[in-house]
Amino acid sequence: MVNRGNTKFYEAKGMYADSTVFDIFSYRMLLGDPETALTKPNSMVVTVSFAEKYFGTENPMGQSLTIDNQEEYVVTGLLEDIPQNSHFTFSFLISMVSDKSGLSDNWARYQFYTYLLIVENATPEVVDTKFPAILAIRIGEENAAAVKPFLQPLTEIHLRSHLFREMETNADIAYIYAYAAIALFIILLACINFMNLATAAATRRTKEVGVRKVAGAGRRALALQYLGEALLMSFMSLGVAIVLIEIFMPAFNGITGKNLSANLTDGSFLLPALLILTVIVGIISGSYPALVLSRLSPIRAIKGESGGAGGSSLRRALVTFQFAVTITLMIATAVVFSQRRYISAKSLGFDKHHLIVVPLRSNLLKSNHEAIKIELLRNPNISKVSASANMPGGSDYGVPIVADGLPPGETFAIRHLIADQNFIDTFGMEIVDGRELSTDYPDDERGSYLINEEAARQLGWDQPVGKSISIPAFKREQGTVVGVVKDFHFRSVHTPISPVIMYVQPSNWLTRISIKVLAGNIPELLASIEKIWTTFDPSQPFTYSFFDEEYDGLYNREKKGQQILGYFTAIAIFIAALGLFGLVTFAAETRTKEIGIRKALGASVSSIVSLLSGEFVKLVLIANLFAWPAAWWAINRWLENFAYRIEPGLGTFVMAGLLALAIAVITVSTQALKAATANPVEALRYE
Amino acid sequence: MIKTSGLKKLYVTEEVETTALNNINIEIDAGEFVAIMGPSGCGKSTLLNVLGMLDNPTDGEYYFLDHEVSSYTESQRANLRKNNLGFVFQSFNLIDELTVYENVELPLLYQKVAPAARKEKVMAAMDQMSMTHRKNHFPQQLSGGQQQRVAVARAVVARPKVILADEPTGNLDSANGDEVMGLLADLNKDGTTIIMVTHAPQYAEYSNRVIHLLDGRVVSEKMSGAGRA
Repeated sequence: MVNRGNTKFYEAKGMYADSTVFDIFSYRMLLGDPETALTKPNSMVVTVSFAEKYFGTENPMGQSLTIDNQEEYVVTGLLEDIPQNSHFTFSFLISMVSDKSGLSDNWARYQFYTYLLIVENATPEVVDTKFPAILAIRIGEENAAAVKPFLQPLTEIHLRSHLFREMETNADIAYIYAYAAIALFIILLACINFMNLATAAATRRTKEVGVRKVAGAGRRALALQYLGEALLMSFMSLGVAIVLIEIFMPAFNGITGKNLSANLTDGSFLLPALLILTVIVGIISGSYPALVLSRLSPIRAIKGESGGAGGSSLRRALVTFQFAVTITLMIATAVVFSQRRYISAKSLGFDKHHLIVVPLRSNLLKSNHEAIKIELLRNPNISKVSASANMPGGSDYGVPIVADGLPPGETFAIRHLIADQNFIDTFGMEIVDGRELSTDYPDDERGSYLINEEAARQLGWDQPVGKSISIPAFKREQGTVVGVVKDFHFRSVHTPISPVIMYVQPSNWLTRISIKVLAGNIPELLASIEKIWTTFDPSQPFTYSFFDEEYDGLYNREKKGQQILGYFTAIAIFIAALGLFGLVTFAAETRTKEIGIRKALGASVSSIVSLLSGEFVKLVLIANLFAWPAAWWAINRWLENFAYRIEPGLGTFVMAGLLALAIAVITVSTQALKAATANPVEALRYE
Repeated sequence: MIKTSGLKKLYVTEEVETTALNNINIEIDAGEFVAIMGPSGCGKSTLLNVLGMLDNPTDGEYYFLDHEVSSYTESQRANLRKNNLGFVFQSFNLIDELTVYENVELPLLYQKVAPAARKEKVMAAMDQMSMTHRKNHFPQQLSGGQQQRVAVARAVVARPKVILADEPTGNLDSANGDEVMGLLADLNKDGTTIIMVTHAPQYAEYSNRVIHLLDGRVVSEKMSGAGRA
């Protein structure tokens, strides 16, 4: 907590930094001297928006702020706000020399992130080899042997690094590749539409080609003309696209929770890349029509005969490809959504609903947690409360335990859930063996443990109750398992259920109280909870969160990914249907005469519709042959991310195929129906 | 067999209203060979299209085999057409993508004739028109006369009661034209009713009645050629 008089906020984004931080990172300092700003104890450098929060329009330089009601810090520098897409962000930095914990000098602790600027031409791998020797001097040979430091290029961290305790939540390069691939496919679909429709329409332009050829146009000139038309079209589309990006970017950022911007004028690679893409798209779409049209012989062309019969097999192949892509995306979307449904329906082993979590920020609150709990329970809308140090979905203590049956000297890795005796009840967990922890047993506070079924399984215990456990790192020597809790998901269902141990620790460990509320007036309830909090410690601002929202945060990335995938799929379906619509319109047009003849001879409307649709329906069916294996491969790769996952059955594939078929049939038959119900005499008019 | 009363057909484009047929009252009996003549734009083809149920009249009544068909839906008309009518066009109207055999077979497919019977009928019709040796050719590979013989074979293959021919000789030289007219006359002798639109007086002579149209009206009906005899 940072405060200046009565202005106080919780600031999550403050860091200790060496005085040399400005030598390595290119932050722009507006006021103050980067050389000296962080050299003295109790000095801090703040960002513009942080300064505005506390000082308004006043000059922040030389002003002081209190942190955690203890130390005073003097502002010695003002920085421009750190861009959202920076490697890490912060709102203030405190000089490293202010740190009194001594951790900054302790080489055996890893509380700090270290950044090195290596000399140009130096090889990082060579630098890596120097570390062990340095460490050995600092922490001794034996300790140094257990640590393997290595350098990581800064630019590789955000997308490719997935280490424990990253500076910020990193993104995954795999997602970038996946989106890029889908975007590429959508562009391809649109190119195919252009090629198909342009070659189809080309048969209508044959007369024009003939006249131009008679007038002396060479093949080359014609090819260039049509290529030029395609390029013009593609550049006009770029213009439209830029406008659309401007319009839709806020909505897109809203969905993804990202803060992307398309700045074309900042001299980055974006503008040249877009221009190159535009040219490539123009050439791809224009090349085939240009080739076909320029090849027509003038005599045949001027008579209006199309040489286009050969092109129709290519058109068919392209439509098949479009639908294969569309079906693949539909299957992927269906699987992603049903996996999501599966996850949310899956029993977590606890009830995440109707839980309000309020942090215990001060020692005053921590030590009074029992009294707070009693006060809370007076409210008829509150049914259960529990104080804890952590909870499912959050952090845990990576400390191994010693347990019965393990070979001497060996430890067992386990997640720790440190909570009071009411936790099991408040979170609706289930005891399958023994009993839960209880205030009726005074020993429970120091020597009793609950473990989950998975822990019992991994420890090989058939009769877990009564086994002894100790946690040397926390100085808990003798303890007994008193109960087994049914397996629950401490982390997201990406990872398998892991062993968990639950026990009580002294009140200074506690960080929050979870409150199980009955349905009712939540704002009113929150107001009364706040009142209790401020009675116990008026110095702390009141904050709260809903547990289910916090826990669901574990799936945010998937949720956003799904939404994007859903939109992509809709776009792909739309483009493919659009292309099909164009093609069938064209087919109906070129076959008007045939339709007329067939109708004069007694063909029914339905037989004409099926004549026109049948061909396209066949293509969609063939598309399934390509789409299914591709989708199978892709979804299995994706599902590998989950420890608990659905087995996509044949049904999903069949449904996607049928859906694509339905879309194709509806698209095609509207046009086919129009052609089929037209008066046959229209078609048979003399030429 | 065919009777119209007060038959009228209007073509309405944005601002112009053209009366293509005006108060047509004609009657055609089974077994007749009727020629419809008149200058370009007099409504001959429109009349033939209405008689052939390819087009609906704007007003009036049209009885075909005692069905009042002027208000029939397209599918009802299609049904009557395929069982009773055969068409021969000036521009042949064969389907380019189908072979001679397949073109001739088409009406039988729409009548759902069994495959064995179909083959027999197609071969008989092509034999009658002496086109059997060309059965695997495509229309584009044939001369105009040959194409029209295929078209006639297609018109007769289902043994329709009436054949409607719209300038069947219009795109043919005189030798081929004579040949096609001979074929039509033979069919008429076998009992098929024929209604033919033509410009050429010498071919009107093959009919037994000539209906003259002018500006959408019947101006005269007289016995001719075969009819006078």
